[in-house]
Amino acid sequence: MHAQMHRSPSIPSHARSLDIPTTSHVNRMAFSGVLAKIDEPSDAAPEGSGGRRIMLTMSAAKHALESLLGMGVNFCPTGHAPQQKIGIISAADIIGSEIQIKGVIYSADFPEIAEEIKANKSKFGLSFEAMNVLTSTLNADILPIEDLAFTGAAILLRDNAAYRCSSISIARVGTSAPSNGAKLNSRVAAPRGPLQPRVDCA
Amino acid sequence: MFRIPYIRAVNNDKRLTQSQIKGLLAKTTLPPAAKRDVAAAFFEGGMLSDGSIKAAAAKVDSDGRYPITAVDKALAGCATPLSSLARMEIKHVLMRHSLI
Repeated sequence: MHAQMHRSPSIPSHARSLDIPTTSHVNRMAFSGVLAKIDEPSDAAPEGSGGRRIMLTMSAAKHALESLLGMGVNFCPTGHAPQQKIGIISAADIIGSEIQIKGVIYSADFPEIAEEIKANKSKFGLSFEAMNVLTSTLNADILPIEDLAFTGAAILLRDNAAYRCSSISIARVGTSAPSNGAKLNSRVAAPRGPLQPRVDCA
Repeated sequence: MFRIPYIRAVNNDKRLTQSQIKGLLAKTTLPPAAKRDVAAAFFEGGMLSDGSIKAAAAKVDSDGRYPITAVDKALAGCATPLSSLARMEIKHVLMRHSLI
């Protein structure tokens, strides 16, 4: 994997991505999904917020988007297990009011987990992990998040996510994430078109 | 600006719903009227979730549990005067369910 970042020069976008080969690989199962909503309150109070719901501001999301790249993905149906990484986030973008990510799960290293996610993807969602979170107030019912650094994400049962809109989709076996420029959402069940030279969303 | 050390976007709202608090209180030896009044006191103290997780004054700590002071305040406001034994029993039930 190259740690080089790519941005499309022609399409204005917030997209960020790592240069990961998308050729078929026995240990890569590509995924994509919705991580969180921007400028909308979370559906539930997340862990660490003192029982208050949060709202990611657009400026915070734009600023922190890059921090998602290279961060690990862990699997814990009921919550987070940041010390049990099963994959990596390779791309992130803001599409509309959603933060969407792409990545790979090490499917040969974690075959049972990969199968479980693939078989029940409609039940699973994504949940971000963040540190150095800044808010302008600690007393509001909904804490506006003005800045943060993403430190990873968890794949968990959607009912347990603070953002119920989160989702995950899995690319066909032996391929990578959905094709270049394709909108990432839960309805994308398989990649469109041939294999791309690299994972990139623009 | 205020700094929050970390956030994990997993649902951490452990506030009880009306039916959950009634279910917990059913496990105590309180008389029925006292159980109703304790549930009402929790509701009036803003300590219950209506299930739709709408914005409400936070009554849980960063771990999602009820602060003991909030529980004491709710029990003090209960219409039925509670003995210290009854208070201990309620707190014990909440503790057993990792709610305080």
